[in-house]
Amino acid sequence: MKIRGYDGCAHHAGIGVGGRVRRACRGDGKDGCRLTMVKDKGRRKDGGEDVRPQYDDPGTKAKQRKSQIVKREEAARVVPFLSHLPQYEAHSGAVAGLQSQDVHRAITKLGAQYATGYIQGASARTVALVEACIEVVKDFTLQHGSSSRAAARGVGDATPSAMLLSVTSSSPAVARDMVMNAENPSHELETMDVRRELDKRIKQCVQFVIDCRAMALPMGNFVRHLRALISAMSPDISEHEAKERLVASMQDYLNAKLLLPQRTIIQTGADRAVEEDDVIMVIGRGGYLVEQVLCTAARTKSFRVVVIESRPHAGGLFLAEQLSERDVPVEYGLMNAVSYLLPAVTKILVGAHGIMSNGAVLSRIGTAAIAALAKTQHIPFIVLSESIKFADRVQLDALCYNELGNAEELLLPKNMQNPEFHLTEGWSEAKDTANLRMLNLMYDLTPIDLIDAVITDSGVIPASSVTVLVNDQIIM
Amino acid sequence: MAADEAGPETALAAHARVDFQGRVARGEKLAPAALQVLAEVVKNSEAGTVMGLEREVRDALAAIRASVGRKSISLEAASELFFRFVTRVALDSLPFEVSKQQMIVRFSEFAQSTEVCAERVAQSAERFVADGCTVLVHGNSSLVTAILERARSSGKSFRVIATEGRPFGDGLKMVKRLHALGIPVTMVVDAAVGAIMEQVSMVLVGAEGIVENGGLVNRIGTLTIALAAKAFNRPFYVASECFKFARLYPLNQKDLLRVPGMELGPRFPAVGTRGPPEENASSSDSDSFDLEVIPSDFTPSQYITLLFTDEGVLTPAAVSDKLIATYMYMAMEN
Repeated sequence: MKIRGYDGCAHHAGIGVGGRVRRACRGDGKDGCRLTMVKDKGRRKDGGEDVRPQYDDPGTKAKQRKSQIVKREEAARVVPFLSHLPQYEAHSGAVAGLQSQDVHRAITKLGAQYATGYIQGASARTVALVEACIEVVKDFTLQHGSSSRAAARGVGDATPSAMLLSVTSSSPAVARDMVMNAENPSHELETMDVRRELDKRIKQCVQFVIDCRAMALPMGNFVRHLRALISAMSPDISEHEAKERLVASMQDYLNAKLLLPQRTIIQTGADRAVEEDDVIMVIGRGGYLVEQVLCTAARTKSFRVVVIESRPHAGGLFLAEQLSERDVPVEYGLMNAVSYLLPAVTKILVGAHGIMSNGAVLSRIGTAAIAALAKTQHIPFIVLSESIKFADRVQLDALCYNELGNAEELLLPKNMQNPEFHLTEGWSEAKDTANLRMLNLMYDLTPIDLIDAVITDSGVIPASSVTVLVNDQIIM
Repeated sequence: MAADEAGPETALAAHARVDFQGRVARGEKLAPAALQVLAEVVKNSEAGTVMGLEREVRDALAAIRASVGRKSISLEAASELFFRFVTRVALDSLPFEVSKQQMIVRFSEFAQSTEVCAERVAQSAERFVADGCTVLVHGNSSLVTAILERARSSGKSFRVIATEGRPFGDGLKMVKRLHALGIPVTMVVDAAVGAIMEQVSMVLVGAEGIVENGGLVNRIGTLTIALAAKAFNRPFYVASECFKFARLYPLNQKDLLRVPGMELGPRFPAVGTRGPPEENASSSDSDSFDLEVIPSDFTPSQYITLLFTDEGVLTPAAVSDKLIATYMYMAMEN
């Protein structure tokens, strides 16, 4: 991966460093920002997106809208400097999830679970996606729809439309295949279909999932892997064999890239990150790995935990409860109290949404602030992450890629509301709050110099070595 | 030293220990000496299986460790590397005798590479010693001596300031060695590091071990020097062989002391060298206060400018990359 023509992204610098809010970079170079990411050519073929869609570009937005399966309602009040990120009204996703008849029910269920927040956390979401995809592939049958009908009608009919398709959407190699198919008996064309139809089905599922909630980093890695598997299959593979092979390799992927690494990390973390008499700070619920590391370590070691909570999710309470059930002394405080709680802390453990190849960690919002504070007091800041969360991208600040949560989550819960406030459900329609925008950013970016160690499936590494492992994955 | 043929396991281990102690007494460094001894063990082993051989090597290693008395990171790192390199050579598919021969061949390649280490380190590091500069050294490192010797023989004139290195007295050995090479050298007490830093143009130290995050474990006092160098913006260079790269990940000083077997040094009487005898603390005084001798400290990677190794000049971040390449790819091959 290279950064082409990087001459400093003024917009990002304006937002990220100086605190001045300017219009965000679109990443297409039209606004003078020349920060463009170029991936290896080999990766592009197997379906990875080159640049993330920028929603403040009308053309891109229209295209995105068109490909959406679940049409979601645009947010009435868009946060202006984040207009390059998709912003929707909250209620539309969850309800729409159940409406699509076309999509496999495992996927519609998954979409609803994502949209409602029933499944949270990058790894949990990825595990669920892999499992749903296994279901989809198992139930896949070659429908005698458009393309297979074309095959039945005979070579002459099939050629023009198929040729057109291949020339516009596929690589030259595929186009050549198509030409050969056109000259050969029609069964060749049918076998071609298995791969194409499977890929189409997967694409459709992924689109549905994206419509319900933006994909997490490892989910993207999995989808790329899956589509690469499909395109790498031999053209004359039978439907049955293709399905069987895909299911087997997805199950392998689930074990080798998600479940086994998680077990390894939990073991390593419990052995090496938690020590007798430690005081460990966790931000919010911390994620599955942090939770399990602490629970595992609690069996053999005595230590104390400080849970720092921030709004709007109250996951920290869950963790605090779990740990105190296991006889771990827990202190629970709000983010506001962090500078007071920090001096007693000996280590900070956090989970990650993803790690960029420059070692920056994308994580639950609030993490970077705590990391910065921890640095001033020389408290080791340790990130737990499976290597599937490593991205071959570089991100310089938290705004160029992020996710906007439901703005209404920021409102106070009903029982705490002050009758003098108008900020209740449906606030965005009220006229007297016309100038108000609510920003519920999900992630922030912790730069590499604030991170002391990354615990990953291959052991404890410094964040600077993430790029080595990323390159390694590409080779594999 | 010719090894006795035959003999039960323990005898082999005992022999290895004697051999090792002999080598160390002759001035060989711990890690290379241990590697040579382990290779002898492999050569002379009568074991008929890989498992048996590995057990013998481990027994010998345990004996060697016991004779050192304290935990040496470089010894640990080198012996782990030995196991990787020598004993795990595609053992499964080959007959035992063949794989044993292969081990010996592989080992001799490995031993050769450790022998030429010093020369390679000096070769890559020499250009960092500028004509007319002042080098601050700490500890008694043969690699540092090799670098300075090479710089000297290439016609550069420079000055060396060496710390005293209490309580181990490394500074005196270092000063003698440098003096013999005709390099102008001054010795200062350890507490003078801050005071002399403004005259220093670069700091050059050896290493007991380099840990995975690029940090340095070295003779006590190294961290103090690194901090002073950072405050004065002086480059801080470390000379080390790659076999000292250890798979440890200390986050602070406490972690270093928690490395199993890594203990505080012997209780060392706080004897002064200048004052009148009655002002010196004697061993009876140590009943009235605690005296701690910490043998090594941990210098985090952010204080290290560059590492001079036999595989070239590395940044601290490259250490982990090297370790991943060594251990992970080898694990995948096997």
